[in-house]
Amino acid sequence: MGRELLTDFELMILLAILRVGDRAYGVPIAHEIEGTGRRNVVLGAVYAALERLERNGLVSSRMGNPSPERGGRAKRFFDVTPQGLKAVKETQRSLVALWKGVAQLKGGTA
Amino acid sequence: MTTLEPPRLARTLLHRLALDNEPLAGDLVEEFRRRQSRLWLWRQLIVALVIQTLYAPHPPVALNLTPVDPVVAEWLMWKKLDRKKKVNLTGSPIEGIGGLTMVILGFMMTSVIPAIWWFVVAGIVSGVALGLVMVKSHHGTLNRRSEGQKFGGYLT
Repeated sequence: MGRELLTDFELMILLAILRVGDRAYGVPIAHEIEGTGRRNVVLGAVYAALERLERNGLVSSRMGNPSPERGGRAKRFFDVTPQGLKAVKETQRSLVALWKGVAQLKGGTA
Repeated sequence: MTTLEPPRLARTLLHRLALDNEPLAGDLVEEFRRRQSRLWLWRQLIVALVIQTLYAPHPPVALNLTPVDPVVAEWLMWKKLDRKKKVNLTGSPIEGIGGLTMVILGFMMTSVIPAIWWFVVAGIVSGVALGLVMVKSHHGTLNRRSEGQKFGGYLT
């Protein structure tokens, strides 16, 4: 693996896949980031990040069957690999460590 | 309410996108049918195509070069095979100088020094005379040799 820490978008995508579960493909991943993460996403950018994560071994993918509501095109389901889970935990630890002791962040949300 | 089908141009672009990333094209169609917003589809489609073009790994493909213009190809081949050979369109006796050049050269010579033609004529006449002498002497040599071969075995 090339990197230990993830970018914020990569972290959001990995967390979205973990939240969606077994049937995580482009649309529910984007919905999860938009709904829970409150961030507008472009599906093309989601796929570009997923390709990068797969190349780094943090996610794996498998093809589904084509369906008519998608114009006869197949879905691509994504799973977080153990390596990806480890990367999420390491990023969380680093961020939490940075969070702690910051005076400006104490006392509720900004 | 907008139609459930993407616009014709968008369908063409989706088809192009699906060649590289079928699941993404499928996701865009699925989400478009849920949202029913052409603006959303165009924004997503354009960004997807740009990202796909810029960041997708492209396998190396052999360049499908168009053959060069036949005239240029022939010139290149001529240059490659025999660069020194000149084109002599009228079969001039002088290598590398065409008939037209000879005419122009002759005209210029006549206009500048007309008397030079006497030297040319003298050169031609003396050349012919010299040639005749050489031919005659060559024939004489051949005759003597044949005579010698004829009786050589007995005379020596």
